[in-house]
Amino acid sequence: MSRAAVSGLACGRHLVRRVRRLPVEGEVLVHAGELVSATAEVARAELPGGAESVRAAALLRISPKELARTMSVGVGAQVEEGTLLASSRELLGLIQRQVRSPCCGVLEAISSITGILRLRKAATRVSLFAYLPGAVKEVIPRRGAIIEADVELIQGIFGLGPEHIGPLRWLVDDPNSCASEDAFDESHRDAVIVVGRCASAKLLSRARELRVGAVVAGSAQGQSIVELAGREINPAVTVEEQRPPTVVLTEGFGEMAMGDRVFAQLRRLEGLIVSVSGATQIRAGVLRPEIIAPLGRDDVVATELRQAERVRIVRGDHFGRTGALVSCPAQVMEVGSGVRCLVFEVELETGLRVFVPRPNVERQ
Amino acid sequence: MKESEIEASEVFAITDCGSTTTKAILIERVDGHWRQTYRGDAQTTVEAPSEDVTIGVRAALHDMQEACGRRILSEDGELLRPCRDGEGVDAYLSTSSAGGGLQMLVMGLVRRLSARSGEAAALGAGAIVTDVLAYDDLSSMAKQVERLRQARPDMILLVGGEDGGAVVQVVELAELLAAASTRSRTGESAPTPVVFAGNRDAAQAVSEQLGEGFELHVVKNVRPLVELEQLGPTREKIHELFLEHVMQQAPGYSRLSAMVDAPILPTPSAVGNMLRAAAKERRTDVVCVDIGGATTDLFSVCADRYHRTVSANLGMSYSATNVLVEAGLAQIRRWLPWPMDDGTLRNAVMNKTIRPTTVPDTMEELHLEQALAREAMRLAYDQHKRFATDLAGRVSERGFDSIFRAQGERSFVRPMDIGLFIGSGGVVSHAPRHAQAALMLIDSFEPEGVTAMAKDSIFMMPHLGVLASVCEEAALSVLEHDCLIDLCTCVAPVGEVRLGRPCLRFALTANGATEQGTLVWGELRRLDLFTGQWAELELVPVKGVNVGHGKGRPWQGKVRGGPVGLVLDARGRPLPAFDTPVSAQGATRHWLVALGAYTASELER
Repeated sequence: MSRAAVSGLACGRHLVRRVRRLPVEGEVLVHAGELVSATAEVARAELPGGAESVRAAALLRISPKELARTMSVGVGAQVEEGTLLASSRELLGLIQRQVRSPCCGVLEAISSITGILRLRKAATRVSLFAYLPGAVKEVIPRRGAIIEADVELIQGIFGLGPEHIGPLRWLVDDPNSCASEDAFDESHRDAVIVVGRCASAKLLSRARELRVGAVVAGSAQGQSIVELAGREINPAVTVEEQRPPTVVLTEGFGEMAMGDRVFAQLRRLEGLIVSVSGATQIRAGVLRPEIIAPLGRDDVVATELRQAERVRIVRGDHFGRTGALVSCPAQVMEVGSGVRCLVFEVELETGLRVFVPRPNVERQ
Repeated sequence: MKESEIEASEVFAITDCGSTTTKAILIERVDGHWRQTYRGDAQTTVEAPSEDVTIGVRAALHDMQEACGRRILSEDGELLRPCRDGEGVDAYLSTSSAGGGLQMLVMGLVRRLSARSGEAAALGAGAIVTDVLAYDDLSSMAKQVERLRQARPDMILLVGGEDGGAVVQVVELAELLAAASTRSRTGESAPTPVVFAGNRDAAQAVSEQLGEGFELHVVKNVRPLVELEQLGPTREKIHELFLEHVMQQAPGYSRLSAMVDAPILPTPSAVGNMLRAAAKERRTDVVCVDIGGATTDLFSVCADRYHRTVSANLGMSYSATNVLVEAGLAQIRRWLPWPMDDGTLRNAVMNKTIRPTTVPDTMEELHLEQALAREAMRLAYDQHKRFATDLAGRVSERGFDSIFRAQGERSFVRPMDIGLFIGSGGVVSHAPRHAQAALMLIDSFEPEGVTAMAKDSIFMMPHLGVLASVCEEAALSVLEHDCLIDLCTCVAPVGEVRLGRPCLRFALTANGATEQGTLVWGELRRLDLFTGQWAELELVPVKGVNVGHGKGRPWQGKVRGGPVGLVLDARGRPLPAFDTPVSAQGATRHWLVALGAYTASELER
């Protein structure tokens, strides 16, 4: 049988490494080899505040070169909102002009070319937590650390929302059931909830209301996700969507039951504290949403499909169905749409054998 | 490899590393003629877990090796060079747009002058312009600083001021950058590359203002005088920095750079090279669309002027949802022959976005992809026409022989003057039937008068563009013989005629036989005219209708055939809008069948 690579999302035990990196240089609080919990602070930094520019020379009606001699404070001075920065006088002092600071911060620069003053607002502290319960594999000096752990990793196909750590809980008993929004209560606050086949708009809205940490579902209507985000989004990039709850879809948009394997893996994690991220980025450094729980070690997932291996179809008339790989014909074939491409022959659970474009098949 | 050795090469392996797919082709001299002989492809591997573009390159070359049945790669996956005893290749070349291509931010003083020239230079160098900030429309400095803080371009282009003119405002722009400490996409620690192509008198002050966080490169002013534009030096510097900095940061590019025998070109830059050659060869205005997964690039050579625009948010996979949002559900749905509710349509498009490499498996899915493509190309073309305008009193030198004066701001892209449309990108090139590709292009671009419609057979314009940089003869030969497929010639009368009334008479003479008839307004008809066949066409429009020589004036000339023959399109320009989805579906079904894109029975459900 010909060999063929196949895409597929992780679902099982993996040795996972996550780079925890500050956006700017700061202080690293851990050392190599140290064991950390998911919520441990590994690094912190002061994020420089935003800049505020003041067209001082123009406001004082003087040339930029004259600005320095009108200054009341020097570069590096800490100023409050309303602090006098510079002043000028005309007509023997009858007309006096002043420039005051529009914000609290530090005077960073006085330009004799443009006549602009630059103020830097106060810095904000950013704290980085480990996210994974594991060992510090490597310290990145002044930036953060690489955390490594043997974990149960389940990747979703789409997600949005921030990183979250909380207990995994269930609202359904089988992958084809849908939890209703009424199933949520106060006890679900901060928890990671598996809701089954489909997360409705009402369910997502209720989850936000009750401050549920994360919702894991097989699918959701595209419109429900748009409503949750509060605006149209491109599902290819959701990294900037940071409003909770975090959502992880394992199958896609529409109404699709959660894959059996994913469902079974999640079931094993019930009650465990898991780390969840909704960040999705389909290009330029692919990121898929994920659910991570501490467990044992396993081999890296193979990327080539082998005969009889279980696969799932992710497009077309058989979207969502699973089966066993029968063959990988070497020649291109015409499929139902008239497109000619390389295909896999898959035997569905019903016994029906179908030819499916190779990119439309994933390892189950 | 020495330049002379590359020029003497007879077998080239060329790859184009796209966002999703890496495509390899083999070009070789066969019986004294340059031909594209074999091809292969594989998924691009700049992303995790591979994170090495050369893995995908080798897989594509391996795929090509299997297709041609002779050894190209050694056992350990290295290219066999030079070609000996029919094995291996003489030279290897590549283009790339993987990893998001070259992303640039442009800052200028006046939006319609220097900022526009800066944008043109960046686009001409193959960049995706993520934002344009102009001094004359900066609303609040604080907002702009925040905007610049959030930006993560690969490179920044700073322009503005005539030589000897405004200094202060240009330095203010540099001051904004310094305040924002804009960092490049590739890293926090490395200084952000800035190309300064403004008033030369401001260069020193700009350098002092920017400080250590930026790596400044000063080149000649893009607008040394208000009425003079010179883009060449800026384009060259951007290209140089792209190769030195951006490509080197991308996963595996240092290895790819070591593999190639000539510099890697950004994909759009390579396509632009080939379009210029096509315009020269065919002696007409030419427009080309390259619709990719993430972006849609438009290139035109109109009235001897070259323009390129990138619609960074319009594409068939990563950006499919953006097309839906920008065009609207109704605009997509009008191209479907069957009803589809909002939820199903939205879900299908969003699923394509999150699984970008899947291919349509059913007719319904194919219709939806082709509907999306029509809207993506239409929107991108609208943007291109708005961009490809001139300013009053401007003298321009854009790398073409002519220096010209224009009388006012108007688009150079005038549909009646365009003699050739070329479609490329997977959705067009790999459309199962030529008629589907032809109708997609006609619906998207709404050609006027007499226009040849062609497609890039297997999307090899990028490959030929980089080949042209070392062997133009080979690139031109393959362009005509293997790259461009003439789909049809489209005749589209323009005017106002009542629906169902005659709008022109036609006579098509080929091989001594003449086919004559009358076209009525609203009709879409296809006449047979085979590939490679030339015919004499005579058109006599009714009063008020223009087919190229003015209202009511006849047109006579030679036209070239193709698999879709001669298309007579009297649907009107713009294409008619329909009151209800049902009437739009009916019209779409009728048009699809009229052109042979589908049979009537295929559209029955």
